[in-house]
Amino acid sequence: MRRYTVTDRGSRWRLILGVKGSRAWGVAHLSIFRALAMSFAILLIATACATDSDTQNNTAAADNQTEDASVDPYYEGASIELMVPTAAGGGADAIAQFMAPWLSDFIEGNPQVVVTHHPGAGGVAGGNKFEYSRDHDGMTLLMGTLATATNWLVGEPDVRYDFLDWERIISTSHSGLLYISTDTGVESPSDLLDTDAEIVKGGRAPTGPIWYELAIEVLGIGESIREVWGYEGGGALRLAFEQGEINMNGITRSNFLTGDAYLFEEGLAEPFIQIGIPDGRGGLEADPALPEDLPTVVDAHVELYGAEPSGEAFEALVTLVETLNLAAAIQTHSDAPPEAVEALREATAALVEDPEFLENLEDTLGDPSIVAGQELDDAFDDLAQMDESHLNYIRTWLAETYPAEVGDISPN
Amino acid sequence: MWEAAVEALSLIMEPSRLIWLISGVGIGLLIGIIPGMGGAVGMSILLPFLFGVDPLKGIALLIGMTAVVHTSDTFPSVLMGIPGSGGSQATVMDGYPLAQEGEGARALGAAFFASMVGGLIGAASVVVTIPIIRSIVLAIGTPEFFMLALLGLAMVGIVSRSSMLAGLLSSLLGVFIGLVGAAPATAQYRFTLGWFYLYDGIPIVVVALGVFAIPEMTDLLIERRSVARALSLGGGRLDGVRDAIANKWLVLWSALLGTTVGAIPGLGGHVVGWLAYGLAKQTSRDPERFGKGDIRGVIAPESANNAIEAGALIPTMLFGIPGSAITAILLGGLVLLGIQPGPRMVTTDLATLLAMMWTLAIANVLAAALCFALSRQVSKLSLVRASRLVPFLLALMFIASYQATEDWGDIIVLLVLGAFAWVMKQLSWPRAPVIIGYVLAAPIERNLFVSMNLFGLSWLTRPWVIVIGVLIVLLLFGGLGGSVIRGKREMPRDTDREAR
Repeated sequence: MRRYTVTDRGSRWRLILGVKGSRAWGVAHLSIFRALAMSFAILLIATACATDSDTQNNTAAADNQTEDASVDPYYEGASIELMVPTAAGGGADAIAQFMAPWLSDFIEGNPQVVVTHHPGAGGVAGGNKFEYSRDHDGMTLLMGTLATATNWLVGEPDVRYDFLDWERIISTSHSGLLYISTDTGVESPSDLLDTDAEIVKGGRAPTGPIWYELAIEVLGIGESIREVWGYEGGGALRLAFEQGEINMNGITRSNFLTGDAYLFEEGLAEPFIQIGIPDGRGGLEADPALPEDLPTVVDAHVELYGAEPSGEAFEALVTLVETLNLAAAIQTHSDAPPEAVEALREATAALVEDPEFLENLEDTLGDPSIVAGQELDDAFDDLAQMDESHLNYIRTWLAETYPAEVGDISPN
Repeated sequence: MWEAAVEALSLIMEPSRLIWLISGVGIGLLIGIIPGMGGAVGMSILLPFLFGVDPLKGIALLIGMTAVVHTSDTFPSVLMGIPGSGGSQATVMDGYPLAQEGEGARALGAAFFASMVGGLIGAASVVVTIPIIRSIVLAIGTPEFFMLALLGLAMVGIVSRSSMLAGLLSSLLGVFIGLVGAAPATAQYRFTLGWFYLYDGIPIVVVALGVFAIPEMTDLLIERRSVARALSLGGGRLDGVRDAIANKWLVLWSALLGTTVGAIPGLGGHVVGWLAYGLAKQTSRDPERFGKGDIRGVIAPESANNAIEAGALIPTMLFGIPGSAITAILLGGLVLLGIQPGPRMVTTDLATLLAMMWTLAIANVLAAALCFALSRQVSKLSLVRASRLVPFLLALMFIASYQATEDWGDIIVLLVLGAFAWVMKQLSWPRAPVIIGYVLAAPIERNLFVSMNLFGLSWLTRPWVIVIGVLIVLLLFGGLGGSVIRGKREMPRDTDREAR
């Protein structure tokens, strides 16, 4: 390959710009270009140094505070960042994207709510960033995920936030259930103990929603179920279930109502047990959104052993359920300014009563459970009073039963 | 089904929806042109605009964008030797040498035409197989997935220009990079060096830019030249189109390959270009020209990577399993639009699925037309001297890397990988296998782990596992044998030929 060396800079530029002219003109063009480029660069640097969105927000907030607070709402003209600790496109993202415009409408002052993504370290990076890289001025919210909670729960070493320390303003509650393939002929936990069929449950990774495994432990049916880890996600599990590679799977209520619904409609799967939701008294009760006849862990235990469950495993399960129930909550810092928290709570209290919002929620996310205000606070109080021994139990149990690496056994 | 197809077409052709489609195409075009950005970034930018939008408009926007990225990403691949996005990495192998010889326009013309036709074939073949597609995907069990991922790795041997051994070693290096972070199936972290940033592994953007772009940019600056060594782009985009038409069978089966691979969840868009390139090279009568500027090395991957998005929609819409990074985000967008993936997509909601296919087809045609029209202007970039162009590109690339996780780790790893890859380049080690290994690391490990847990060792005796296994062995030894023979034949020849 021959090389063409062009020493005449002017003619190169003429070629590119399609300009015909003298050599001098080509070179002059160059100096103008240089000057423009320099000024543009200087302008860029100047703008970058001067702008800092946090500073801008703080200024706005500070201005509002110094003025008469009853005249200007705290969030007037402000911009709120709603952080999602996963990449774009997941379940938490869908909730955040859905909630953003509603929050914007309902929060007094109509601030703009912008969703940002902070993936990393399985959800821990986002949580850490929220706690340490953002001002605690109410201008940043976190969209919690199950991973945010479970990583904290099992004492994952790099978690630097305290899950209990955040101010929850609204939460889509979660509940879980196990379903089983109709091919197995197993319909209830007592069938399970009698059957010859091999029951294979598929799962993702042990630091995911482990309440299924804990429920199995509470019911004492772990010997009859073989667990296979490593599936990539809900979709992969569904596919494996249809192929017959696995015949038991654990899903959340919202998946039951949406993505996995066809399995039940087509008679491929049958609900087995539900984990249950916190009853506010340290126990579990049935989720009203699930089929009435689906036994909870408590019901199943009674069916199998004639008595309600008790003991460490069960108490740990209740703690776990209470934690995960609140996990998908939008939260702000507990030391955010009181006016900010007040404004947020007012907005969400109104939001969960709004029929249009509820209808939209059901249409879009398929799942009408949303909790705010006093109900959310009560649930949270239960959790905050949890016995540290429950946390220890979960961590020890995890370390012994599964190939999981958990933090040292000490509570936060 | 034909009534549904016609109905879907009439739904899409409504003017307001067409505008959304065109906007999607425009955005996708820009994103593809900027090296390293890739479709996934554009998708995440578009997501917030989707709330409350009429589903068909939203689909038009998202899919319009998806379809186009694989067409416009040819620009940086051919003109600068930097893949515009994952799918067009293989295009660099022959597209860039062509541009360096002053035939950039020809390469672009061939690429755009092949892209357009490939995309259309992809959409058509998906529609045709809709009745049986579900049963096909259901027949691919976890062990078969594992074998297919291994097959992808074996392709490495074919695409390596120099020693196949070096290629295999590079691919294993890529697998190693892919292992960093959390294990797929257990809560264990490997090779994180106690550094928080590495817990989620190294993002693909950082690897792709570090391994491909940094060495190219560095060499451009060192050699102080512009991308095109010649001062003209050469004649004809239309020459390129004629080349593509002359190779019509290549376009056809590359597209079919792309669609098929796209339909296999987990293999992803990055591998497809290489598979097509590898097979084109292996099945040609004179493979020596590949890697030095053979137009077929541009046509095959470009046709395949446009077809892949059609295929990737299958597992996405039928099972909710994303077939590629772009479809992963698309899935999130679809939820916002109120569309639920599942078997209903081929029964009651068939019109929606077909509307997507129509959108893909129309967007592909639009994209090719736009790229054709713009190619002269955009190509002039390759004439600009490196010292002016490269700083701008480097800044863009650093920004693109940083937006992976917005952590300084992105930049640090980019530089470390870039330095290492630059050394590889100087020593003529193939770098493409590194990406292939990286992308396949997770599917290989995950599927092997699950297969062993489910079946012990008995999965090795499943019929398709054996078939694919034999295929892998043939490819590996065919490649080895072939390169040995070729090596013996080539030695006395002058390697500096310019025959055309």
